[in-house]
Amino acid sequence: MIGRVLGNRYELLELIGTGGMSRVYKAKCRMLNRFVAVKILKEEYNADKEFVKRFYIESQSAASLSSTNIVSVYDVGQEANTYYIVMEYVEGATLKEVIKENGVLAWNVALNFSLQILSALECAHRNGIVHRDIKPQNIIVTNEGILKVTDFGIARAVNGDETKKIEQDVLGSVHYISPEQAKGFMIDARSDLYSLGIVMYEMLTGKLPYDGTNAVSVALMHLNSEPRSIKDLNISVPNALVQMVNKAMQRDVVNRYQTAKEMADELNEFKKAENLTSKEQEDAFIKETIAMVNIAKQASQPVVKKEESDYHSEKTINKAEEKEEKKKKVPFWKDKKERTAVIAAVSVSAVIVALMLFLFAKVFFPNLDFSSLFESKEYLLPNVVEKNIEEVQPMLEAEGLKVKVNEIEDDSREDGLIINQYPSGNIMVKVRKTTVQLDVVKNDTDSVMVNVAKVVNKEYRQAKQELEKAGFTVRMVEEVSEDIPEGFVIRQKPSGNTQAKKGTEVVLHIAKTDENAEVFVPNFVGMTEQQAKVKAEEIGLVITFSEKKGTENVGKVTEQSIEKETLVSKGTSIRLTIIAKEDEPVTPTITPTVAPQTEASQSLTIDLPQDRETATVVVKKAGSEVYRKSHNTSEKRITVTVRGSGTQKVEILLDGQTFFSQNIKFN
Amino acid sequence: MIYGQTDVGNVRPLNEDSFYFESTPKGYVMMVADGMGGHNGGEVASQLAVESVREYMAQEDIFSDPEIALRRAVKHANDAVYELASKKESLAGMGTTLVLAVGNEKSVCIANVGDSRAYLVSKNNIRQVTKDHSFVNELVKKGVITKEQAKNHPKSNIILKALGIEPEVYPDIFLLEKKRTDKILLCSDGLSGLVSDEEILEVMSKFNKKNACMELVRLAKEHGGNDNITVVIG
Repeated sequence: MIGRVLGNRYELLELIGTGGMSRVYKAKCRMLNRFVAVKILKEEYNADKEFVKRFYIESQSAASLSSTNIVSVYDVGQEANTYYIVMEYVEGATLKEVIKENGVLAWNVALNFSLQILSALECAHRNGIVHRDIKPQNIIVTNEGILKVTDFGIARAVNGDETKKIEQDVLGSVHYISPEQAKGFMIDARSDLYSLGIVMYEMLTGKLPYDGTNAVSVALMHLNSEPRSIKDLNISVPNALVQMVNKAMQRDVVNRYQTAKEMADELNEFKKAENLTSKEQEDAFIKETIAMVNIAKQASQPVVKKEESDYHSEKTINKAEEKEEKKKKVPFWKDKKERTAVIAAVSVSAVIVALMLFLFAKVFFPNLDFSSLFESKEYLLPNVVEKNIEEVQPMLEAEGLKVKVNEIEDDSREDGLIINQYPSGNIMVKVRKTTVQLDVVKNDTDSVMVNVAKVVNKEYRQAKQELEKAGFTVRMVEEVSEDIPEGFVIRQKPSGNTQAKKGTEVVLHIAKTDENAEVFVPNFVGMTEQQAKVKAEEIGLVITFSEKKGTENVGKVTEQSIEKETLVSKGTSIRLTIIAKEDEPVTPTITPTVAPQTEASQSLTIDLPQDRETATVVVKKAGSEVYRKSHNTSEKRITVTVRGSGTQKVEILLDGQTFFSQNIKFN
Repeated sequence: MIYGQTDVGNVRPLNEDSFYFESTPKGYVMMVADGMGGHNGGEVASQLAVESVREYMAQEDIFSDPEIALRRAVKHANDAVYELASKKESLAGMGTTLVLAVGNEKSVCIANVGDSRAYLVSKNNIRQVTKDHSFVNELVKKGVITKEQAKNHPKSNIILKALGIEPEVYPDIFLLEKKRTDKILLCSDGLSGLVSDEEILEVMSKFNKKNACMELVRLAKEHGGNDNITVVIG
């Protein structure tokens, strides 16, 4: 496919993503001399004429949507047996990645993001298009700090005609579906608002409100469960905002916001009341967003080696493989981290060329607005990140661009190195209007005193990031706390709003729940499986279910292995007997049995991160902790032996963050 | 006698279903697999699963303890598909359903993974033996939606179990006593999604096995044929 030219104008340059029913290529539009994304329908759908028709109709209606916050659809076409959609080429990271790599988002950021998503929904709903698959994986945060929602109309086109899929592959969508979607009922615009509510919850807490290991349990939670309150997970979120998210997430459609506009109005009013609407604040917000995108894009994971102790044979799960893994699941816009700078010699000076371009484009592309083409000369801004300011600045200025340098202190990098640029590279910019902002490394020899931000009551990752950005190093100390939720800062030293030298170590005491605490066993009898699960999780008990056939109290718990009101330590396992419907007696069903297996051991070699002094290493096997120890990172590499049988999921967490999670075969 | 038929249907370009049956003096074996996965992954997975089961059955005595034999055969097939899927990048993520029956005139043992089905059909009665490992069936079981609502659910393409996805898979096993005249019907969801149980019963009571297969495929196509259709009757 690479190198092929579709419709005599779109030259496919590289594959940038693979989705359920299409492949997406970065392409160059020869006519307008710009990059576009071309989405090509997979061949297995080609023969389905009805589907192709729907795909076209939906794409065309999506093409009518014009909003800053929607990935524009430019064109649809067919060549031989290839059906394609041409879209705006957007660089950035998905909102999912941004949340994953930045942790909980500050509530004002989440508020701004929500308003941008709402503006996309407002535009689509007004045109009668319901998205049906709003999720952070479908929302791109661009390098310019703008949110763009993609794939409008696609979910409707595939509706009912999708090929068979295993639930693991659809779990990503099920987390965000509305109760009416889970039931397979007719849905309307209010379903998108529910999904947005879930996305907001995730931005504000870093957690999904309804999470489980399988699609069915998650769907049932949408229908029956109450999620943990946002305040429980992030006390810094204002009550008014919590209420708005809760309203969006109402199970019953009539209790939700009825339109995107109604919801946007309320959010905007709140934003105004909080004095967040000034120009300075909007600019600061854009800057912060760009920083978050960069963090998401640069996220890399440490290397883990797995050794089979019996054979001494080494299997390396290296970064490249992990990336491959990731790539397969990541949607099309996933940005490439390394991009070669393309300094295309666009013949901007030749007015004739521009005119021809205009005439051609007018003929083939009547709906596009070309007025901007003539406003000033354009220049394909190269990617200058990782280059030196001394060579870049004269080059850009020679083109007529203004350059603004922001000095950034970073001991680990050489002076003069450009570490960030805005606008990002490989896009066309208007020469007269553009100021290129460059973050350039500049290390001061004398240490400066800086303000230590107050991070008490903030979530750890967020606090850490904030302090590190200001030039401090951060050390975490865990402390048992009854009232502060796990993972939040209890106190800090030096304390907030004081002055300290750059590079000073700030010690953060992070709340941790007391694992040895004792709790009273509740009365599970009469509860459904789901209610019992929720209750147990809330209290910190582990439950297992055993089924008993019966006709009365079907689906309810009738016995519990430990009496209610008994005092037990957290994590105690309780067996609940639940009544299952009596089956037709003719067919005895034999439930799957697992043959007893002998145990074997596996050694995990873990390279400790070198960006901190100590690291707490936790190893979990099949969800339960089998190893926890704080290591001095000067040990560089440690080996942990885990015993198990068959194939079991092994996870490794470093300072509470998962960086390895895979099934490991023990024997 | 056993008959089987498969058809690509009206809209899909590939037939990703596979089937096989065989009669021996000791009894019979029959199976249907419905593959999934990009490129030609679905086709490869269902064929490989059927081949692996055949291979296993050819070497082992499956009739003395069919339950154990079925478990082992399914494991054998799962290993084969899982291994190939992890080896070849273009086939990553492929998988297949499998419904597999081993029996004689008096009894039958059925193993199932996924949403292909086995029915027991007597003169005036039809009963679905297997339980679909599907998202919508689970919702029906939990009482969230009715069977009727399940039929048009947009997420009926989601299955919860398949061969080749995980290193281990545990099939449901069903042991049935049957009359000599009772028939066993195996099919992929290309049939059961479009032809009702009542229609299947009606066709089976009118036609012999061979013609019933043809008529059922024809009916499924008449009702839209949006998926591959496979039916085996023994």
